[in-house]
Amino acid sequence: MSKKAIVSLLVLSMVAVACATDTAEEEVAVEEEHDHSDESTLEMVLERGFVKCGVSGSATAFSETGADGSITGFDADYCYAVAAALFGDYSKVEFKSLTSAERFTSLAAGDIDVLIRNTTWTQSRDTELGNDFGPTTYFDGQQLMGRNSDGISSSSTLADIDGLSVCTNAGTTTEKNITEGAGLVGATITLVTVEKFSEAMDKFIAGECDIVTTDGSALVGRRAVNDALNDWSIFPQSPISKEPLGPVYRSNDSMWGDVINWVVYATIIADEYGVTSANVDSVDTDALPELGRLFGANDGELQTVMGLSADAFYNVIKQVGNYDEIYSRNLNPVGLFREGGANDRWTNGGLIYAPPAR
Amino acid sequence: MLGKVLKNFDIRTFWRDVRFLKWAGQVLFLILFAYSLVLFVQTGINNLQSTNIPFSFDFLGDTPGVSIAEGFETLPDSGLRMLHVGMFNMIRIMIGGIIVATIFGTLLGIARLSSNWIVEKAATALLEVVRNVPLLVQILFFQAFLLAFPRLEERDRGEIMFHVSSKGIAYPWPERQESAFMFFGFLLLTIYLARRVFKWRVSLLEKEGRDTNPFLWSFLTFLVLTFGNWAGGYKLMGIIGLISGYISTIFDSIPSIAYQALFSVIAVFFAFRYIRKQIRNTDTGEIRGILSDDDYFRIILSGVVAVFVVLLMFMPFGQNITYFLEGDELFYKSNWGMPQFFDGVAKRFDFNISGPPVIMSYPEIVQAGTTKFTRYSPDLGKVTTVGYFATWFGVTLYTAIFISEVVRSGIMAISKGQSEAGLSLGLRRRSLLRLIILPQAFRVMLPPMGNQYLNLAKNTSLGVAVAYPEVVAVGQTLYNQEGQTLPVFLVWMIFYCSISLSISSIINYYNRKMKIVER
Amino acid sequence: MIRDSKFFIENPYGRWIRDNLFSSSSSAFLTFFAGFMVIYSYRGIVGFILNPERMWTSVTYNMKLYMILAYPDEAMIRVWLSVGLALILGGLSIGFYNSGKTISLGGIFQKLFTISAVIALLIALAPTNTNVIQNDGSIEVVEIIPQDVRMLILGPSLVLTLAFFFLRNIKIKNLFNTAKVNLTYFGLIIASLYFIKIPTISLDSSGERIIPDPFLPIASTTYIPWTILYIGMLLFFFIGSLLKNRDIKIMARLIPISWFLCPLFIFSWIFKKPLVELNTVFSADIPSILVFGIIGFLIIRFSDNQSIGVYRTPINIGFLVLSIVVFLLPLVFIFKATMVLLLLLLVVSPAIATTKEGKRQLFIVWVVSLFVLTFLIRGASSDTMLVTPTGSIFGGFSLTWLLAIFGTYASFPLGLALALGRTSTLPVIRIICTGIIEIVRSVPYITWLFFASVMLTVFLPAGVEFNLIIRVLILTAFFSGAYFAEYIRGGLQSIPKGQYEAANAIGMNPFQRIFLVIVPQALRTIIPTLVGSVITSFKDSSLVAIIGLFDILRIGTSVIPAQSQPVVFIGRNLEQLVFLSFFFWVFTFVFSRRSMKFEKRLGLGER
Repeated sequence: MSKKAIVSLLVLSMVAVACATDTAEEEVAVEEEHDHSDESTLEMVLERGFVKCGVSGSATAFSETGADGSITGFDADYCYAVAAALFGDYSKVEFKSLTSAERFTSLAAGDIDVLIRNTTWTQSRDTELGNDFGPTTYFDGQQLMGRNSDGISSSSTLADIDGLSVCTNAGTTTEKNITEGAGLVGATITLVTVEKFSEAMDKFIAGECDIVTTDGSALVGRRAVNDALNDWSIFPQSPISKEPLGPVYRSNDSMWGDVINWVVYATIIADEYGVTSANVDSVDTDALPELGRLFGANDGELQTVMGLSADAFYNVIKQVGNYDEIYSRNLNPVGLFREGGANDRWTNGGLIYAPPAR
Repeated sequence: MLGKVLKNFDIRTFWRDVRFLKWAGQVLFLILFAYSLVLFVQTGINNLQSTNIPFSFDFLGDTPGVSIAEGFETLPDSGLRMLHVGMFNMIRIMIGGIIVATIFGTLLGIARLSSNWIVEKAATALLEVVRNVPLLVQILFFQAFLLAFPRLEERDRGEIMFHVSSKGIAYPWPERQESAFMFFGFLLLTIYLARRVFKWRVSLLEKEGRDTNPFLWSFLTFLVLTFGNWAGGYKLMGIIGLISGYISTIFDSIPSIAYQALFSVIAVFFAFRYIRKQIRNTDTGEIRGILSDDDYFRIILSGVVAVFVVLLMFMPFGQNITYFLEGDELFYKSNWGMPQFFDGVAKRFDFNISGPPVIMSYPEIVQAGTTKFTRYSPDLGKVTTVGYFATWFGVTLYTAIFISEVVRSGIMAISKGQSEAGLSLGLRRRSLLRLIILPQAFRVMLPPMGNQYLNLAKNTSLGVAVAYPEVVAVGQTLYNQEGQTLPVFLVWMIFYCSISLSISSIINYYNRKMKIVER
Repeated sequence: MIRDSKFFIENPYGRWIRDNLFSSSSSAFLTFFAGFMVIYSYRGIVGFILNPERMWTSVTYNMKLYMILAYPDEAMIRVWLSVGLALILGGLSIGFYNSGKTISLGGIFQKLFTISAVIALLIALAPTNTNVIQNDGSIEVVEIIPQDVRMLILGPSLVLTLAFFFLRNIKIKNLFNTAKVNLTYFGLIIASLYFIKIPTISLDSSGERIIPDPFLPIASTTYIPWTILYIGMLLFFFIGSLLKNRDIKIMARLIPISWFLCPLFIFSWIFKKPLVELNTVFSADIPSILVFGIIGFLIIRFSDNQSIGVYRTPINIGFLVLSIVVFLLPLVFIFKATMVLLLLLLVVSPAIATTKEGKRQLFIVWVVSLFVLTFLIRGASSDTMLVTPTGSIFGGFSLTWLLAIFGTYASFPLGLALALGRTSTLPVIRIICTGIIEIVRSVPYITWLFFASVMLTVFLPAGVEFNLIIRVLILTAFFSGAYFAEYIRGGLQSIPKGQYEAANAIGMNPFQRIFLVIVPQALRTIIPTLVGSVITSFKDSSLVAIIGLFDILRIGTSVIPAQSQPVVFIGRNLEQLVFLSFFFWVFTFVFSRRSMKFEKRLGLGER
């Protein structure tokens, strides 16, 4: 009896293990199906049904989290635009809020499909880290801000900050830029590096720092919000660094890269023609053949070759809007305007330019 | 003996031998553990290779090109130097925190036992607030508190005594002079001598039974010597400098192979002695010749360690150690080594140095650059910056609260009979606390107190949230620049482990010393 | 001397003041000093809060964001169910564990008197002016509490104070149950949600903000759910009281177990809304229950069989090896987890299944726990059906709870294993466990979090991915596991040697000795410490804000101060800090007080 019991126990446990292995193998098989390391991101995303977009989640006007948890902003709108092009439905986005330290790791690990997190295009990021950069959506540059009452004016230079304490935010190129810039003119500064720009502003307002420095867009925005147009000055006139911000994707994936690039270009081209989400339906595509090609009026061959539906870019403009709309919707409320700046249309002397759609 | 063992060997009993099973299990466990560890590390290295950022410590030598807010060097020229500044900043906060938290925590603990209603309630309220709010929130709050003070520009330029602004707190500070090291070296000697005098007088008191005034004697010794010290007696310490100079030359002149051989021989020698001791210890008494599991384990482990040390000595790592001892190679741009260290000592302990060891220096508000801005003069007085204050005050208060609980329970653990006995001897309350309660309570308090010190040391890492450049914040800046996360993490780990080990070994030392000798 | 005047000797209040505030000259100095400090800090805090620079609507407008981040609106009922389950269980246990302590009407008035007196005092001491820093750096003094407003509040509160002062001596024999009185207080708080109105940011139909902000009830959107939950809580309070009066013994076991399982149930089923496929249920769950049920049945059936008893050690070791094998094989998680449960059954069954009744009960317990385990794991391991913009349903306060609770649950077995390893007599295991504990403990939590956020992915084989929350949970389990291990080791060392010897003497094997004799006693002694460490992990969970997880602190310090639409809250982080301090304080304070009372009542920690 006893021996029988032991044997039956053993047999049972064998059965248990066998059953479990079977099911486990099934699960592993399912997992393998999802392993797309050789596949283009485009196919993967289309199969999945939504696009994973890396954003900041706490960058004013670029990607901010609203009171209901939704994510809005300039960068977020480009994520929506990509989704609109791919699926015809702008809401098919899953945002991943990333810190600046983890953004490239996330992209490399395949956590996200595209990174649109006010990321500066630099040589080392483009080459060394295995990324590719899309067209620049926003031209920024690092500047400094100080109080008029302390003797700072918009004509001040870097030499004027000798001996001052300067606040900046960490994890980006800003710390290095200001250290290098100050070193070049022989100014010694006390650099207080905080995690977030809002903390740097707190320290500036309270007076721990005499000067605050970061990307010009953030400075202008914050000055407008604090209603200090006449109290605070931003200097020097030409930024101390170039910060072209745009989408980033993994390198060696041109199918996917083309989609991202042309979503951005489509918004710019639409802006050149003055086509907005409001009047996109009434565009005379015969009179404007370029728009016709872009919006897929004539079988949309250009889009279908890319792996998109013919009306992909029509959907982008219809559901999200053109460059100007995206810009004004998000950046005008914080005091950033296109007119006369680097982000104006190229016909007005700005840098926003797209190759032709033909 | 071996033949006897083999003769008695029986595979069936062997399988059921508990000792065999235990060792087999352990070896199996060890293999599994080592295997998973190797697998883990191997995957890590492979993955790093594929992310284009291979594991390397080279960033320690590169120039980070980022300046840091405070520390003995604000524009370090190498990553190592930068981490060094961060470590120094962390230790600065830790030592200041431990001292103040101990004092404040003890006071709070006593206040919570006070008979004064408002003091007791205020202490309890403070405890309940601080204990129940996350430290990170508190640190952010103290930063906001200091930032709420007026700007420095509101105040006129010139010399000041004590000033608080949103740029920090400025106060007078005894500035260290050239002769400070010699002075404090002599002071340590003085304290030792005064202690010896005290012991000598006490032993005299015990022998002869008359009042020998031990306290007065030792105090006088201290006073006289310190006075002599201040007047220039510290020049005596120049001897240390002389000796250091010789040591430096000796370290410099020994070839590296000698060190490698020396360490190997030492390791083998100690392992041999240790193993012999283990065997000899069991060779006496009733359990003659029987080694326990632990003995076997120790013998094997010491053998393995000895072999490992010998191997290590002749590998690049050992080479680096000898470079360090010789002081020949540049270590990531830093001129580190034993000769350099002793040279430094020799420079600070020089017969030619004169002048007072410390000079009181008062802070001053000066103009910054060419603009209307003002700042505290960096060379005069002492300035506590906002980040430092928030971190230091946060961790100190937080730890003090927990220390106060330790103190309170320590005092309450002393039986009431002790204080009653003291009172009936006619001691005053204050003397009772000082002579009877606290010394006994201290013994109970020491281990939990050590834990609190460890917590304080670890909590300083929250300075990263208020821009205080301690080792975590600095490391973060470094890996943001260079992408080398794993090496930075290893540096953090080694640093914090050694800090923790030093604190706990100091506490353990005192714990052993204070322990009641049980009879 | 004033101290010897008639008032200070004869009047009872005067005597109290003399004895408690001015007993000696140093005591008098301390009184003034402490009093000054308290008043100074109070006035500073009030000045800070009422400063016109502060924009408190940034807190109230984002309350939902704080609590649940982007949890979908249409599934809000799940959040309320989660809170409701906890409240109902709370009501049930308050009713069931009601100590029957009573308070007289006079006692209630005494309390009310104290409260109103404190309020009156606080209003009287509040500052009139505060400083505001202008954009150009200059300072302006602003009046925050005009005298007429102060009088308007001070008057009624003084009247109330006086009224309660006289009412507290009222001689009415009626006694009230403290539990009921406390529930009434809670009800008053709920009722105040209807009455207290504050300025609230409202948007009109076109998305424009209505200026000035209209006055709306304090919880304008949530007072109805709160009321329903409160009624449910009351209901279950009475059910609990009823059960107590009926003297139903099994509830005394069921309630703690329910408390233990409640968070798991909430997180794996209610809050999550898992996507359960019948396919997997039939292919994995039901076979698992059947197979392990039968194995368990056999173990219980033959546990006191003499002829098998001889082979007990080999069987135990065999199962141990089997479970290790099961763990290393790529099996479904349910099998692995159930295997651990089976090991436990193997250890306890010889001690319990000695009689027929014992066997029957053990089998019932075994089957029930199999079902519960499978149910929970099925929920936890399935994907969620909820769709959020960020793909994660945990955020804000729910994430804080997830980290605190899961950190505790996962670290407990880990800590136990490490502690047993560290106190083991086997040197290899002891050294490895000691090493792990010491290394994990000596490095700060925040450094481990950095490890989780940027490095852990590097060490995982290709294809295995966890999202950041899971990575943080793994590291948290390790970190608090190492701490728990030290507490448990303390408990283990407090067990007298005689217990080990006695266990050996009655022929227990090492597993039984540890799990049936030593560990239960050790855990009993350290329950107070464990409660303390749960509170610590609740507080520590706020550190994940630094590595970018959207917990309640990060929402406060970085998300809200970045909002520019629809209302500009840019730079509003001081308000959030004040709110968060208060919020954390309330939770930890209430929690620690409750647990202290509970410990006392159960007599835990005393031997």
